[in-house]
Amino acid sequence: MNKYVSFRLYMGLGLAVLIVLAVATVTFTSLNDQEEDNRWIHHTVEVLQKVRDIRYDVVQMRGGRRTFWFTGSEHFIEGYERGRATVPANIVILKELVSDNPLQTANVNNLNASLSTLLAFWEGSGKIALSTPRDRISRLIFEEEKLLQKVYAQFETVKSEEQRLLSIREEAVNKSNNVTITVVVIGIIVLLLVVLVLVNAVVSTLKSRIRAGNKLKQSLDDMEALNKLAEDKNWVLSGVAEITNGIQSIDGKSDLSKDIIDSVVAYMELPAGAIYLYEEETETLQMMAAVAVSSQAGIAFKKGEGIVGSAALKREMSIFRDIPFDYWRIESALGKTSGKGEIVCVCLWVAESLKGVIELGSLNPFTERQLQLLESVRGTLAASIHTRQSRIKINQLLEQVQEQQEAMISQQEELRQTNEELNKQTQELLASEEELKTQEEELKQINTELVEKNDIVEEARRALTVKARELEATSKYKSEFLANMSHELRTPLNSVLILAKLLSDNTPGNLNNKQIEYAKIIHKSGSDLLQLINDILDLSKIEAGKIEILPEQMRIDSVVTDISQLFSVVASEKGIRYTIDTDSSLPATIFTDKQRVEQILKNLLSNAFKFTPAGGAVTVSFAPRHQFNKQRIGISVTDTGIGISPAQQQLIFEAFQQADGSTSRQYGGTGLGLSISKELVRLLGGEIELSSEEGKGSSFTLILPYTYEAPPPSATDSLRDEITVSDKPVSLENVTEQDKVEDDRGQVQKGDPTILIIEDDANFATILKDFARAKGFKTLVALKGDEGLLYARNYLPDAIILDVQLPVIDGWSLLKILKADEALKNIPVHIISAFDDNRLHTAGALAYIKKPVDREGLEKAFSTINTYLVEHLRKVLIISSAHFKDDSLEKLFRQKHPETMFEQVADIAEARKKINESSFDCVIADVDSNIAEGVRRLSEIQDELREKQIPLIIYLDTDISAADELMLKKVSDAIVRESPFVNDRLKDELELFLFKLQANEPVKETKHITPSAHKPINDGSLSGKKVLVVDDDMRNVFALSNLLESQEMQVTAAADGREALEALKTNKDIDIVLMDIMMPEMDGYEAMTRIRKDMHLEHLPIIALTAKAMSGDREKCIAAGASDYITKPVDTQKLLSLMRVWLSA
Amino acid sequence: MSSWQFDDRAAIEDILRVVARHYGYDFSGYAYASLVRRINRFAQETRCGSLYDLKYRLLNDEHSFRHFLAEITVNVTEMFRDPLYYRVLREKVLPVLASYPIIKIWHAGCSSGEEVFSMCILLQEYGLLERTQLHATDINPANLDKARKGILPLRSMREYTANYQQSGGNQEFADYYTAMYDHAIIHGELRKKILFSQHNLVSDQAFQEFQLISCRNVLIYFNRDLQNRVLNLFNESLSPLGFLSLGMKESVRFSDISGTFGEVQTGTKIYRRKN
Repeated sequence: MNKYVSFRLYMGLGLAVLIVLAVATVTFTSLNDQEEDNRWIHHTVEVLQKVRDIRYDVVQMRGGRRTFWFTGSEHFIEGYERGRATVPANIVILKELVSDNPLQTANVNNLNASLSTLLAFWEGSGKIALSTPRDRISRLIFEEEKLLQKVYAQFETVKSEEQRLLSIREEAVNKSNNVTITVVVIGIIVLLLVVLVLVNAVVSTLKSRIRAGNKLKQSLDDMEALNKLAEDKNWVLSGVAEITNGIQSIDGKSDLSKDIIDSVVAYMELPAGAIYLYEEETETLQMMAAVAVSSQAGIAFKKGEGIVGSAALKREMSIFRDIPFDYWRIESALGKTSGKGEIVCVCLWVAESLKGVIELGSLNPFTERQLQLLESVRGTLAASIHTRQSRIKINQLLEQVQEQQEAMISQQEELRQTNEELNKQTQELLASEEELKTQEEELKQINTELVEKNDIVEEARRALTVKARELEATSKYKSEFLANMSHELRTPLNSVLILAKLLSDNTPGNLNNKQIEYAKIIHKSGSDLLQLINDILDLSKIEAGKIEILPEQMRIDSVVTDISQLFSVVASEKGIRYTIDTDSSLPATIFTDKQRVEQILKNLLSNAFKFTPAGGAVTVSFAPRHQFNKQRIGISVTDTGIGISPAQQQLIFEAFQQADGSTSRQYGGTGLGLSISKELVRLLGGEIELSSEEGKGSSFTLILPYTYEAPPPSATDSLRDEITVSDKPVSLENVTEQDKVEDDRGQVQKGDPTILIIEDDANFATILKDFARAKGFKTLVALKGDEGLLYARNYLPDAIILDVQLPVIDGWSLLKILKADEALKNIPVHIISAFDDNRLHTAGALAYIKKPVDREGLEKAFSTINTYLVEHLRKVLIISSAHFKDDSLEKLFRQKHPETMFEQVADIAEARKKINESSFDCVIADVDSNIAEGVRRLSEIQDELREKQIPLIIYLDTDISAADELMLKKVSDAIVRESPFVNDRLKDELELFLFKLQANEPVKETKHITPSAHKPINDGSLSGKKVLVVDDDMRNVFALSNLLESQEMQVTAAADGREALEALKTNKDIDIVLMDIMMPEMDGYEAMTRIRKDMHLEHLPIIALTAKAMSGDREKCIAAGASDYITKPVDTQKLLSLMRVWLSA
Repeated sequence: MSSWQFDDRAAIEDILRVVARHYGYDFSGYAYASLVRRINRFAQETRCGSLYDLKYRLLNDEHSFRHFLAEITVNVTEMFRDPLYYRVLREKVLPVLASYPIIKIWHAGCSSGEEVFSMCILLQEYGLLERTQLHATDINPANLDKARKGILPLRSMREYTANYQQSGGNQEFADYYTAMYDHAIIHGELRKKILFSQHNLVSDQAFQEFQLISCRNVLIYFNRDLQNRVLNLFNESLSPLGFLSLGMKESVRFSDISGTFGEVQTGTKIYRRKN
């Protein structure tokens, strides 16, 4: 359209110009013609004038002649004379004028001829004078007249010819004028038409332009509105991303609340904000972090209290507009301000639980997009708070479990130690028993000896009792071990008991009463011991939770019958009144464990009978003991025995405590009964009450609920279950290998550059595959995430191209798995995906391109991969002629790290050349049995290695001394000895040097010497002195050597005491010795003693270095002969000072 | 039987302070619950009826203190304890150690030496003993004296034999010791590479660079802070890629160095330095 218009415009304008040019040309030509014509007209007029002049002259001459005639006056002849002069001249001029026209020339010539004739007439024959006769005159006149007529006719001819020419020329001028006018008029008319057309076209174009302009403006407005919308959306989205990023601190140690409020306030550019976390216990919202909040602002709100508290009751955001002026304050060092503005409270919920509230203040009204951002981000924030809280909780629980486990093991060990001792005692007892048995045969002869032996047994028994008490003391800590040991414990005791019983039965009848009594004592003691062990086992079982409560409907009357029967005999034997009362309001049965109840009652009763003297009374009464709305039974056992003092009442239920240390000796028993009872009652859900008065008796009341309720499973049990729930590993068992895209799975050879494409779109995968192949890669294609992982593991490709949306395992997860896998994490992963996700930046991918991808994109991706592969190629140089003949090491290493290259050279010269030529990341060199020579050889390339920071691994196949090792360590970073799995070790070391330490981080230097804050100054005082460093810790020797050499000292090293003595023998001029203490062969103490005593070097300063810091160590060193003493890690400044002191003397 | 018990933290701390000042042994980093039990046991054994008695005895009777030291530090040990652990040592650790020209091993808290003897037997069987230097340290000199003798009760040998066999040993276990009366003495050849020295993990420093540090069932008696200190000490004393073995219920997990170590085989508590 536009083109057409402008074409038309240009056409019209062109036409107009042409027309103007044409008219101008025509006009110009006609003007030129007219000028020419005018010139000619003028010429004609001139000719006519000249003709007229000549004629006048001729007329004048005739007139003069005639007048003269008539008058005879000479005066008149003058006119004639004048004409005679002028006429010929004028004729010449006239001839000149008409020379262009042949006709006129001819006419003028005729005229001239006629005139000449006339003039000649007048001159000759026509001479007149006064004297001339008349007739003659008449004739003359006649003749004259004839000639004159001829001249006049000639004049007329010339004249008419000129006039004809004049009229022709005038007509030509007129004609040309007419033509010009016509042309100009027509030209102007045409021009006007063209202009009209043009104006019309321009006007219509302009009109449509204006219309289009208006339309454009309209759509621009629309676009702007859309942009604004998109910008808002973008703002919200990047806000979500930014805030999410801001709170994603990996270590979990930073303050999440602070991170949240900081990032929210920073992103939304708000002046102030605060975050409150909800504490469930107290139901309060506690302010955890705030930005620019006045210190007067509240720090905690109850739920529903204040605007924060009430906001927490709601699920939506609460906006408070129109808050009064001065409602809130912002503070900074520069001042504070208050304002109107608005407040928003965002409550954070995860499912049904409130996590916290974020309160934000703005001096301006909150915009829609700000609110939108808050709405979109609050779920994430709540979840991250929840996650962080959960993580902290889990970590605490895990730590608790670890502590409990440790405590359990230490308890087990302690118990085991005790138990071992007990076992030892049992063994001793057995041995004694053995002796006793032997003695039995000789009993009669060596009666006195028997007594003695019996004493030993008694002694042993006593020791046993003591040990048994020790067992009580420690076994309250439940031990599964002890429970399991019951059999082993009882077996030997059983034999003791059986043998003692046999003895006391005295079946052969060869023992006297005394001896029988002794044997009975043995039996009794043994039984006590067994009882003790049983009690301990019971207690430990209860405490270990190994006792099960088996509740049943227990008939109260059957219990009464049982205990009545059990103790009635004892009662009558001891002469104690024994009564049992039952309250009639009790139910017939209660639901509890009858066996345990009776066990407790038996224990209480046996105590009661034990401590009640003859004539006393023991009463058991069954009565209800309800508490609040809980129905309970109370069973009291009351005696009139010795009673228990109030202080001791606290103790008797504790395991291994009795009312009085002497009680057991008087009354026997283990004292565990009450502890067991207490534990059992606890298990039954009841309690024991005690009231007692010393000297008057005691009353124990067993209180049990009518109905036993099993306790809920303990927290630790459920905890254990929780812990076992861990990340489910990805199963690669049932991966189906794709067959849709043909790839190189079968054809990958070792060393082939291989690329793995994980892409669910088979078509795009094919494209990538072809591309990769064209780039010279062998290609594997996986269409699913798990399949990709499988191939990655199986083929260890050089690079991976990864899609994000994948079946089974998505790309992000897969990337995470790959990066977490030791074997796979070094493979570069290039992501090609339709997603745009900022998680990428932390995810560890090599690069990222977005779908759709064009060829350039693919080129770029592959060149990125290639660059990476080239840059990450690691090169290892092996210097060896004897070893590494096969490439097993290379094979092993490249299996895991295909980006590695190995080169091998046979000698050092070649190696040096190689190292100078190209860059290596590690050098492995072998050293044969001649260590010194090997070290010398290797030191030739030391400078190169140091300069390029290439680590050196030394490989050797012989045993070496500590001194050799020291030498080797000086030039190398690791020493590897030939051994069956040496390649594995080499692999580990190579990995360490090639990959783990690549970030310019040296192997963590441990602190053997602590450098002082300032670099030690070399004041020259130690310069030239010889020092012997004796230490088997190589690292320490190096550190010290460096330090001392910086002081210009001459350092000799020895790895142990023996070497130190050798060194002192050969170097008589050693000035000072630094002596480590813990060394093999000969330790520092002995070395120092020998130096002082055997070598008589009493005045040689020896400074002992020791890792030990305990108080006695110093004295020990000095006693052994040390001059002074310094602890490791060595403080350099202190050591140097010490050495200066000892060397200045 | 004593009728009282120390369970008051101030009292316990008082005793520990006295011991630390007088003898240089600092037990303040020991696990509190265990410490209370040990001290009470000692008090009961020695019939110290009061805090004052206990302090008096500890300060004035060095022999009593030696006894106290032995009681406080639990010395339960056996040869080839946890056979699985030794099996993994055989299969996974010794092959790596074999590639060091001089192998350095530290048994921290060696008690009466049973574990370090076991280690020597393994090394002997793999032909590595000759080029190994073993340091065995303990806080208690009495234990070291006992360990230096290499004498064990004969009755334990049956159990140790079973342990040995379960750990993958296929030699004649009896060839490693000579039985005499009711004792067995571990052959001197096996013990000659062991250097026994006193070393207190609480206060003393690193003294060598080792490829393997074994400290089993010692950390359970320490509280978290002390465990952390000791683990850092071990980390400093290990060569790159060195091994650290702990007791079955111990872990580096809650310490500073947890990131630096990886477990060689899950559940055996043999860790390896990653760099």
